[in-house]
Amino acid sequence: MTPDSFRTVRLTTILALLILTIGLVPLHVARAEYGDVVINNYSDEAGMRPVVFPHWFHRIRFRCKVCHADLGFKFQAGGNEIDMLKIIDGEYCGACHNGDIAWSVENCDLCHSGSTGSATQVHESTLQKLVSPGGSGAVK
Amino acid sequence: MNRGSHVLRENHVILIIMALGILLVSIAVVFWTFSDAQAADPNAFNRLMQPPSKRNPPPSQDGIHDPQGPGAAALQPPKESFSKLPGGKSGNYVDWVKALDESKIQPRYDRLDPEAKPIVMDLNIVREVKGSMPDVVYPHKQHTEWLDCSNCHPAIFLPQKGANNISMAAILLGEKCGVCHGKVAFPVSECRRCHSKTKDKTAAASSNTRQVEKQAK
Amino acid sequence: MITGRYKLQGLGVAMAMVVATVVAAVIYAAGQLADAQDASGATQQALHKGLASKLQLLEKLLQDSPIVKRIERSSNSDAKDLLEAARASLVQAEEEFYTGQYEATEAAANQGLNAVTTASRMVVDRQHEEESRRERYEQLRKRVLSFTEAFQRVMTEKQGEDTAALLDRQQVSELLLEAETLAQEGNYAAANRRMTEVADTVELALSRARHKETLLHELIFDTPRDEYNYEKQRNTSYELLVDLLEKESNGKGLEDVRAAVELNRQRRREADQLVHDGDVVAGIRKLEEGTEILARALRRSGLVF
Repeated sequence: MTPDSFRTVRLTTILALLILTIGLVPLHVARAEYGDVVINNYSDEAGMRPVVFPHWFHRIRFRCKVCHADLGFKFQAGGNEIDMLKIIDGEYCGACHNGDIAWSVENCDLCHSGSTGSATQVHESTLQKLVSPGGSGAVK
Repeated sequence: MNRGSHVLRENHVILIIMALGILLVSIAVVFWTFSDAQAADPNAFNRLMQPPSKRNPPPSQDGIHDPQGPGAAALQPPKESFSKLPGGKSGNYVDWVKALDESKIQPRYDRLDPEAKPIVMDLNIVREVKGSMPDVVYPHKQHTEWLDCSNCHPAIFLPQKGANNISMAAILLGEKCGVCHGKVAFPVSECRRCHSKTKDKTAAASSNTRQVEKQAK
Repeated sequence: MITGRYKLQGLGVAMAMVVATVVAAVIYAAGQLADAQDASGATQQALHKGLASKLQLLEKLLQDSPIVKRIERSSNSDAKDLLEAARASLVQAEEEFYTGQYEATEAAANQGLNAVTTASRMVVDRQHEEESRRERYEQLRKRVLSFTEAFQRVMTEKQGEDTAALLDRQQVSELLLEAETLAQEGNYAAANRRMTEVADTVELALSRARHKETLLHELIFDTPRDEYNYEKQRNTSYELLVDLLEKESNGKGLEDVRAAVELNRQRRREADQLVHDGDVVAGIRKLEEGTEILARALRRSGLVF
């Protein structure tokens, strides 16, 4: 091996190593669980993270009727005027999250676990995914 | 010459070390990249499709929960719960109807009474559709096991033939069937689950609504 | 022996590679442990903020919330005791918060919240209860009405004795009358109980009448005009999808869809004209054409359906 070619190989190697170690950033494509509802009616003002309501966890334990017919929840993300006072008073979420049927309101972070500032939405709903990535360039 | 050959051998050793080094680093980085990312391979067969291993991510990685909040770590990862339930092809990737039928889950029908039984209505509505798509079969049975009559009637659907104008566009916009399907119940990507009755080419209609058959169970 | 120059350079490169590998490993490990690191590092700050919010909530609750006002107005001494305990817990929690005893603060704040929750259940909000009962009565009434009509239609269709026997009309009308009387008196609780019974009875009768049946809702309309209106509504719903597409894709690459919208509008105008001139069937066909054009263009532009 000639000194020149050796130098080329060495330089190339160093360059390759640099690129490999520092250049590549891991692509973090994250998807939430289907049916999770982010509720951000008053959370921003109160300086709390928005609430993430997991439908999947609740439908294992209750049929739709219990919340949507008996407890008065409307079929609309953000369409129910829920605030902490009502919850503590036993309305809406507070009908079960009162220490008897389920854990009580002192576990702030179990509900208020959303990324700060997220908008009220039903995650992965059809409306959100309606436009495909390959179509008009809008990537979800 | 002795010196020369030693030089060559040393250079070979260095080259070998370089090669090993590149290999190590490549492995580390590729492992790192793959452990977090979707298909890093630009020529992957289903490049944009989410592979099964990436479905139902835990709260700290699902893009909705704040990974730095204490909540994300305390909440149960969905996969743990779904490992016991029959799989589905869309949405949560769980077949909830099957899970209920097989008693894998026992959701309450009443907030306080775990033994309360639902009033199930076994009535199928077949809606003819324009075009070549098979007709839609709507089964009350599977729906009334979860929902109360008042959830849909009369607010979303009028319980009367011809009173509900349902189009695919309306469903996609979140009305009619789209109030639940595409939000919490399975999304409308699986056409055949609803469009399940192939059109009968010889059918001649004599009245507006008629009983087609009494199903034998 | 290796010549000095090559040795140094060779060793230099080898060391550089080792360093690079170590750096890569560290970055990787750091990425993997990011959550744990963040948790421990930012824990104190997060805890402080979380507790501050909790104390703020408890303060708001105990100062002038409707719950507290209700409890104070009531004569329930247990509830009032709990309220006092909650106030004491709040004071204690605040002291401990300012001296940095976060665990003790959490415990005291939780105690306060639990006390208020329990107390609120002891004293019922009469006004709110009345309102929600009235709302529920209205809902039940609508429900009973629509299902009774539906049962009526079933009876007309089946023309049989056994169908009519499924529902005790006498009992239903009696219960309805009772419910209405009670509602007028203002006793919505009892009225709702009657109404729920009626609703359940009618729904049960309906499900028995239609048990295991299949109803065919054919695309048969009473008049061509009906079908025309149906088509028009369907066409409009596709136009709404275009609005959604515009919003979601920031208006990029939509020339195809916009052209289709124009064509659709033209078809709609032509259809209206045909109907005006008396040929409704041709109008319907025109509308179907327009819908087809629009739907295809939407699919081409990435709308997934």
